[in-house]
Amino acid sequence: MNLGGGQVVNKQSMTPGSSVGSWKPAAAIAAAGGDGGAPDQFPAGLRVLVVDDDSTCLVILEKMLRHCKYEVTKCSRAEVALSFLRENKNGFDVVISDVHMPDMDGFKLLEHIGLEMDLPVIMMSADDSKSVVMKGVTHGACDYLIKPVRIEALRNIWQHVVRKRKHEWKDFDPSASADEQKQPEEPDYSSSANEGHNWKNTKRKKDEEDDADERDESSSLKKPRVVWSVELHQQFVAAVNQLGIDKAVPKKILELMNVPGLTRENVASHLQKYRLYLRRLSGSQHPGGMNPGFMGGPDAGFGPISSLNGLDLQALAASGQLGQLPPQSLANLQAAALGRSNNSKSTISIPVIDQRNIFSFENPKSRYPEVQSQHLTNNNSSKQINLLPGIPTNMDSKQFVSLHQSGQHSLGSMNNLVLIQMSGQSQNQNQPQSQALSNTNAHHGLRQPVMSNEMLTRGGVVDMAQPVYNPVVSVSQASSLVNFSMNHKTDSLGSSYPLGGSLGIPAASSALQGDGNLDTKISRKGIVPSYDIFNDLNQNRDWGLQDSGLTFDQSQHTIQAGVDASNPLLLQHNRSSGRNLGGQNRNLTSGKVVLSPGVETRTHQNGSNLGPHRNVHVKTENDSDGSYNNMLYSEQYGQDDLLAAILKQQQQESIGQPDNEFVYDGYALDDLPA
Amino acid sequence: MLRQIANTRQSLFDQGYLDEQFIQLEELQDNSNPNFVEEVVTLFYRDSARFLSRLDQALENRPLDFNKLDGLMHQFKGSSTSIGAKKVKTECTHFRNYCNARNAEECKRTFQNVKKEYTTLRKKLEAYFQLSKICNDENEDISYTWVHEYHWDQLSKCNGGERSSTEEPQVCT
Repeated sequence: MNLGGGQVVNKQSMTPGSSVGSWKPAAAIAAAGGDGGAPDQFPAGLRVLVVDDDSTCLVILEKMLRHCKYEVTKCSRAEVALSFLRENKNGFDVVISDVHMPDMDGFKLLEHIGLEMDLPVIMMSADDSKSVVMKGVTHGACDYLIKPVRIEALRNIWQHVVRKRKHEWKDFDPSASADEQKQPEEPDYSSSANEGHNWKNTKRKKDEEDDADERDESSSLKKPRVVWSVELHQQFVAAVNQLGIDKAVPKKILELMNVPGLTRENVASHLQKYRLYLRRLSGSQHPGGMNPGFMGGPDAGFGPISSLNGLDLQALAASGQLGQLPPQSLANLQAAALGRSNNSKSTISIPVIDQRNIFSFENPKSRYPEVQSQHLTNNNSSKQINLLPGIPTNMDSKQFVSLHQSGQHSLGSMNNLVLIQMSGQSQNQNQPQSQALSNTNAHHGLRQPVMSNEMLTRGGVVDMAQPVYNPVVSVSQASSLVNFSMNHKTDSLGSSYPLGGSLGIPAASSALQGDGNLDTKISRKGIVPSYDIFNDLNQNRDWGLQDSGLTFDQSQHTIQAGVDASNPLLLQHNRSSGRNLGGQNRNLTSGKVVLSPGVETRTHQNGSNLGPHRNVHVKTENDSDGSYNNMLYSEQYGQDDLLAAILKQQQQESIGQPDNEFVYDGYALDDLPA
Repeated sequence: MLRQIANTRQSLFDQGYLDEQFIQLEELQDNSNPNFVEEVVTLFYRDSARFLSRLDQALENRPLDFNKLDGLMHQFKGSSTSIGAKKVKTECTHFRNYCNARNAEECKRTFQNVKKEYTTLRKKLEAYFQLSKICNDENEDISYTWVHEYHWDQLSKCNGGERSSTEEPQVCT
């Protein structure tokens, strides 16, 4: 099912070797079939995108898929794949990707695709170790194939497409009015007149038997897919938060969002994804469920997944009740904010965690599902919760938006927005938003999350490329969920997903688990909530971030976050003292974040240089003094700066609180230009 | 000739140079792409050459960066697996084990084995493909010859030779 010219072009350009021609007849038939042919031919004509850096494998897969009568596009680079997907929304039905790729981690790509396009993604690798397969599962892969891949395994991949469609269909509330029951926005064929229609028909026919009556087949077929931009996602998260994650129903969300042109189905499917995301985040970290504000454990990848726009953050926030995430989110935000747009890979738009949350300890809510922009900035107002030191805690929503914007880059869409609105809360640390919330790239070594967190606080949307790391930030008040779009999955350091996963954010959440609400802690402190929370969190919870790569330290507050160089956030969050980060940056010492480079080795304490993708073990000492602001939030930190700042802080100040340790996985603190 | 080729091919499997994956590749080959297997194998050579040289270089570093070596070898192993290069794959696994154990000496030694197996396989495969090509050519000759003979045969019929119109070229005297 070729979408038409575009599709073909892609194929040809991308796959120099592919014999598109040979397959054309089949495709043509499928395409031309329109009503008559397609249904019978299903799954023939399934549009597959294969991504693998190994050209031998790529050619073999392409050949096998052609033999299965699928339409194949191959690419050897993840970024190219993402751009294909973005350019041709609904141009593909399923994506098959290798896990180990040099330019972007397969899991990161997976997250991106899942969030942005919601296509079924199948991972493959020669590596069949349980941990990697588990990672695939937690990141949302539909399937995991072990290389060498046999053609039989490929024959059945169409089931994932059907299944996904089916779920989306069911997502709709059957009782909704008929006109609302339009096609869910699935990535699919709707764009191409015939094929889409055919496919839809085909699929619908399959599902329709059960549900069908309510579905409005004809009109919806062509419904264009809704793109969840960062702003939209933020609105969504805000609405969800407002309603409460448990009570959020699509209809109400839709009403709250009040976006013209958005249908209940759109919201419903997005909500579903969001919930899964949150679940994943919380599941990965600790079963303890706390995840306060973390942006979602390992999965939370921030940045990389652009789709995280808000979504991630939310997920993060939601995942564990993020409210507490602050540290992480902050980190992420900062990282994002740092504007590391560089890697664009995954600009994670870290939704600034609910503003309230991060810094405002006010919300005891343990879950802050949405950190997103909405509240970020202000919840606490007056609390100086600068989650990220130096990050302007008051992230107004508009800042947030600006963050978004700045963030957007990388990969194209990854919105770097780190929505970390770090809390507009009054704190205003007003860090220069410039920090680039855009730094999205979480993926490269920069674990932006940390940086972005700062950035976020800056009020901008930080692109946390990195998964939300802000576990540290656990922004005290539950509200402070920093939704960092933690894409931590991406980039992260190699094994574990950095930031996100490793960021301790999951851990953070887990750490927070101890208590359920960070708020309480924070409120106790009375200080700038964010930092306190963080400390509290640290204390109470073990931040065992469960990132695949991260070693979670269940002990007190060790949050391992793949700290990316840009992770300053993590560091900073520890500070409970609620300070405004203004400038202090690097005060992490109170919470001293010890970044220990190296994979999972937490040996570093302060200032250990974090090599890229190293586990930075951030130890945050809880010290009550508020000088926390520093590290994380040093203003203007580009991700690197943040990280450097943090590192510096650590070094300088190593405050004695050993309790909190955030281990950042994969964050290369070194990278931060101190 | 055909039998010779078949034997050669079988020995590659029997001796463990190739495994089942290679058969999968062969099954993918068809008329639209009659040299598919060879093309893939050629692609493999090209990629492998790069990996092997990078591994060589990485092994020269002091101290050894095991993570990098592991990563490179993982990729090379993936390639080898996809064409069914069994012995090469086994050696790669050994290499990775030593890498994980951070055993530099063994890594280097194993790498030599990897290279050796790769080279051996390559030679054998090249010989095999050569043989196949010749066989095909020969087959063509044979067919051509047959036709030729047949025609000649027909002609000779006119001359009264009693011949069965079989493939067997019969020379009319």
